[in-house]
Amino acid sequence: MKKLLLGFLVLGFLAGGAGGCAEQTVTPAANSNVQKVYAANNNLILAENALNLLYKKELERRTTDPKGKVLLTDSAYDTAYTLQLEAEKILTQAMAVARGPRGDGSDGMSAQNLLDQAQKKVDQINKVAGVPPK
Amino acid sequence: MNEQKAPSIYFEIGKTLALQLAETYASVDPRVGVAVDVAKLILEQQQRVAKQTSILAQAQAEGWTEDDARWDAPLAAQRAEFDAAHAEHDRLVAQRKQS
Repeated sequence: MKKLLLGFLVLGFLAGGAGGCAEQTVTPAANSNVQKVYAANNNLILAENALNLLYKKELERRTTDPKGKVLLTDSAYDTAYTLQLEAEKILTQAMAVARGPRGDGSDGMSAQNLLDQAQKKVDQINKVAGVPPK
Repeated sequence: MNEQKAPSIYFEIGKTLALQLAETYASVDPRVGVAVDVAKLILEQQQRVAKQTSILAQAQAEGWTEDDARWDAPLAAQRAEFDAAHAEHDRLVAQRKQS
């Protein structure tokens, strides 16, 4: 009985050790990249919502005040929407890099490059949507 | 601790007052109304990010594995927000075509 208990204890210790090792495979750098993607996603969501809001106001204006100042043209809205889709695709790639097999920080530059590309598109959308720069 | 929190409380009160002031002028000029709505969006966004940051910090403290649902949950929530924004886009484009 004592041997059985000791066996369970050893197995438990080994399993606990293996679990600890598994957690350590994700470095702070990889976690940081994932968090950066979350933050970039949030910025993009804000830009998309602001853009939709501005266009909603523009469509309202066209019926209530046809001769008033144009808030957003159709073509600007369509172009910004294309930028949204591109930025989302890039951020999906960035997340895959940050969380993928090489998401240990060794490919941090790749994830950062993708994030930079996405940020440029978000900046363009924000400019159209009138979101002030941070 | 309370002393550290005090400035952020004043900042929150300041933001609320500024929004109320701006809303008063919003009825005068539609462009001001848009700016106010965008400011509200930014505030909502800040609150969402703060909540998400606390979820992530907790997950990180407890140890993250790639398949951990705690990390997938914020991503799924963000995906839902992207989908909602796309749905709104489709609705607005349909509204444009009708008018």
